[in-house]
Amino acid sequence: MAEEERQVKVRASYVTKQYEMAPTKSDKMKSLFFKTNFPKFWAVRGVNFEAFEGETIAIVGNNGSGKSTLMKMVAGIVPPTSGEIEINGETSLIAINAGLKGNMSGRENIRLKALMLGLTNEEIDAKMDEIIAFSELGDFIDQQVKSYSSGMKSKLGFSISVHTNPDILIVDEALSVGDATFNRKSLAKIKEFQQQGKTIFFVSHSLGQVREMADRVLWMHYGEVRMFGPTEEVMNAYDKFIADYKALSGKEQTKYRNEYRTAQQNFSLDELYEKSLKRERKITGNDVLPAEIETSIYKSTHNRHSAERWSVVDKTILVVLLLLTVFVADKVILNLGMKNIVEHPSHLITNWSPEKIHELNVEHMADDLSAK
Amino acid sequence: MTDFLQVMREIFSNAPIANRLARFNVKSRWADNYLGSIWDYLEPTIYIGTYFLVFGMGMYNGTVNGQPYILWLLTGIVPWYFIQGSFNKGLNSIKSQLGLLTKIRFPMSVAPVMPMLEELRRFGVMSLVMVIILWLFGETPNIYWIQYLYAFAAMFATVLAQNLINSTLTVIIPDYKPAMAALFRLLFFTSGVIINMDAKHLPFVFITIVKMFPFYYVIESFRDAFLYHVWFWDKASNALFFWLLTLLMLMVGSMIHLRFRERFIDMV
Repeated sequence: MAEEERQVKVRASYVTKQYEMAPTKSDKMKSLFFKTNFPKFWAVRGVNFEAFEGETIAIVGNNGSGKSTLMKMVAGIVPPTSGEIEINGETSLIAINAGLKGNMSGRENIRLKALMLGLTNEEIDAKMDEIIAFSELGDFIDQQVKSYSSGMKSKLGFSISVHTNPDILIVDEALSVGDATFNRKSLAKIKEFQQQGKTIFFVSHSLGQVREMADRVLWMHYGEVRMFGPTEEVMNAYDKFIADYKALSGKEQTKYRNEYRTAQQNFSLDELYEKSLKRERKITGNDVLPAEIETSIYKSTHNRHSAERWSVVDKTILVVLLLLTVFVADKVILNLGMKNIVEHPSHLITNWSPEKIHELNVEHMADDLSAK
Repeated sequence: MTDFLQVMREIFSNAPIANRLARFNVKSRWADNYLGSIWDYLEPTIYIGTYFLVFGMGMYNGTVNGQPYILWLLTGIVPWYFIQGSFNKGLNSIKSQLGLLTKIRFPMSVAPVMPMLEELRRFGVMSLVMVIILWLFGETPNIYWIQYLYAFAAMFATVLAQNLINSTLTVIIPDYKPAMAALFRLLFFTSGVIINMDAKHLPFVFITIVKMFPFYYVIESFRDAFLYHVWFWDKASNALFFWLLTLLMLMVGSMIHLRFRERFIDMV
């Protein structure tokens, strides 16, 4: 197959994202140091997909299905809770709210954002005029961004992002922000990227746009991949789902939503493991999987992000350092010589008695008097 | 330790970005003012003049610890301006970027370093002026001046450690920033920048503890290099304590930075 020869640009395997629903900030603080029991919410539950070079993938799904979270993870902005995302290339996320600083001019914002994305000043100078022209801002470019209309802001944000020359472009509902002419232009720009062979992800609620642009569609459904495949196939199924869902009464819709919400709260990595096993069995057609495959699935579903753990070695080093620091501090405060400590280790504690401290003070002031 | 090494790796590999951003920030900081970056130097000059008059002439009659007060003040206040600028901006370094960080893929670990890079230029210029004045007062360059590098390294390390911790905790604890800002103003007086803490009427234990604060040690190191001509290994216990504490703070700072980094985004 041709697809296997193409380079994989993004590979997600068993990706999850969990949010802890702590009611206040101080509760969130507690969860840093202690094990807390706040309700968990899994915004993304075990997503697997591969995106190849030059592919355009649309992500559809209703609100709160984890599309934006998934896109932020693909862009490398938000780290996944478990699982792995392999990104081969430079990503650029284009979101509605482009993250501009209101108290700077448009021109300065272009420079700042481009610098943050890792461009050098020379590269920025070369692209500046092009970005300004694309944004259609004209003389407003030297005005502070806070005086811009929301359309102007999103145009500027879009122009910056598409001109930083990423090879993986992630468009999060940003294709429907400007006026009709600008939208046409943005679509044309995205198509230009398609022709250049860039990998594009885009989230859109405009199903027409999806059918027009996408090679494949990833349908997110309450944190899970409901379907992933060629545009026609997925979109037909999605259309049918939407129609069915709309046909439900208000109460039924709420019930449906709540069922999935509960599932998202009660989700666990073990559940993901079981599900992945089932899927693997179905794909291979075997009822019993080889042990090594089971363990490899177990490992990939359970590899939580390493920063959350803290190894025994680290703890030991920290404790040793802490003890050493306290020891030296004690030595300095009590003005003890090393020889004294070796001969009478107990002085480190006994010298804290008020008489000894007083002695130190008197000596200290006597030094002063004799100096005078 | 692994956390610490990871943060250091990130900082080093993103140093060019941080450097360019710092320069951009320095340029745009005073862009709206008529005098521009002159303010960077005008403000310290005014303050140094005032301290010299009030404390130098008024309190110490021009000499302190056997040194002209102006030299004593300069060797302390030049590093202090670096510390102050980096510390105050460091408190807010992550919080102020949060809005952007959810939109742009950006190595967050360089945020606490950037205020320090932004202060470097002013620190360089002020150091140069300080050396010239020292020379005018008859302090010829000597071997002890090499310790300027040691003192600078100590200052950089301890401010980095502070910034790592502060930038993270400011995001998490709402009260942290005002508390640290208040503490910092207090430290200005206890760190021996304008007031000599060597005065002997204070209780020994109290004064020893005050001198163990990292910023005091940094400033003392600068003075050891330029004024007192003492090598840092002659104060081995103090040096050891300083570096142990700094290492400890760097490790704790890296730990909480990495642990909380993923959640910063949820806290916007």
